[in-house]
Amino acid sequence: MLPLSVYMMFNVLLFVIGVYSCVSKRNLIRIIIGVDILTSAVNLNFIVFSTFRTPGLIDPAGHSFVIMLIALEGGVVAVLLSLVVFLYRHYGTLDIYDLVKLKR
Amino acid sequence: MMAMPETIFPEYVLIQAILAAGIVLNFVLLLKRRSWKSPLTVAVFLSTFLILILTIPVFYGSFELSIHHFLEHIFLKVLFILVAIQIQIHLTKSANYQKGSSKACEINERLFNRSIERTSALQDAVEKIYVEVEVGLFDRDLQNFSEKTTSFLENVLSSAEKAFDIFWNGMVKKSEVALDMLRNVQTGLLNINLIFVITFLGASFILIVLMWR
Repeated sequence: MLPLSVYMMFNVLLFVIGVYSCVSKRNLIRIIIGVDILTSAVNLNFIVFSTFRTPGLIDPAGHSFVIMLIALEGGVVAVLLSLVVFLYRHYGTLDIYDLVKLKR
Repeated sequence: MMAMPETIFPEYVLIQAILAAGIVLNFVLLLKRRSWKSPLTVAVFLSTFLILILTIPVFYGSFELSIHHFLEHIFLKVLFILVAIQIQIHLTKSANYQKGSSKACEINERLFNRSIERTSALQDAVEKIYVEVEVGLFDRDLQNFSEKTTSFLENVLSSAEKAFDIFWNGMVKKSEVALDMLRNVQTGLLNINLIFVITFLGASFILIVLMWR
C-alpha cells in the first residue's frame, strides 16, 4: 500500500485541476466538469482518510459520507445542467464573458 | 374539576369555528385532491381534528387556565407533528443499520440463552443440596449426612466445571464466528474502497481529458 502522502498529493493535484478549470475556463460546461473534478477529489480524500485512520481497519463513516456526497453531486450536476440548458435557450451562448456583457 | 360554564367566551367560539372551518377545508382538499396517500397531509388533518376535540373542555375551565391549556395543546400538537416527521426520517435512515446489526444481536442472544441454561442447571444442583441437607438434619445421622453432603458437593463441583467448560467453549466458538464476521465486513469494505478509488480515478481522468479537449 502506498503511503498517505502520495494519495494526499494526488488529491491536491485533482483539487487544483478542478479549481483551475472553474477559474480559467470560459465555457459553462467546462466549469461544471471542473466542479465534478473538485467533488471527486473530496470523495477520494474521504476514502483515503477512512483507510488510514485506524491501522488494519477501515472506517465505515468515510464510506457513508462518500455515498451521500455522490448523491448530492448528482443533484448538483443535474441542477447546473438544467441551468445551462435554460441559459443556452435564452441567450444562445454559453460563454460566461458574453453572458456578462449581454446584461438582460 | 370542571365547573359548568356561566358564560361562554366569544373568543373560544371564534377559535373553535376557525378550527372547524379548517378541518372541513382540509377534508374537502383531501377528498378532492386524493392526497390521503401522503402521511403528512393525513397527520395535519388528524392533528387539527385532535386540537378541536381537545379544546372543547376549554369552555368549562377558568379563563387563564383555559388559555394556558389551549396554547399548551396547540404547542404539543405542533411538536408532535415535528417529532413524528423527524422519527420517520430517522427510521428510514436507520433501517439499513438495523439490518446489519441484527445478526450480531442474534449471536449475542443465543450466547445469553445458553449461559442462562447453564446457570439454571447449577441452580438446580444447589437446590438439590439444600433438600439433602434438610433431609440429613431431620435424619440426625451425622455420618450419613456428611457423606451425602460431600458427595453432593463433589457432584455440584463437577457439574459446575462441566457447565463452565461448555459455556467457555461456546463463548470461544461464538467469538470466533463474530471475529470471522468482522473480518468479512472489513474485506468487504476494502473491496468497496478499491472500487471507489478506481471509479473516482477513472472518472477524474475522463473529466480532465474532456475539459482540455
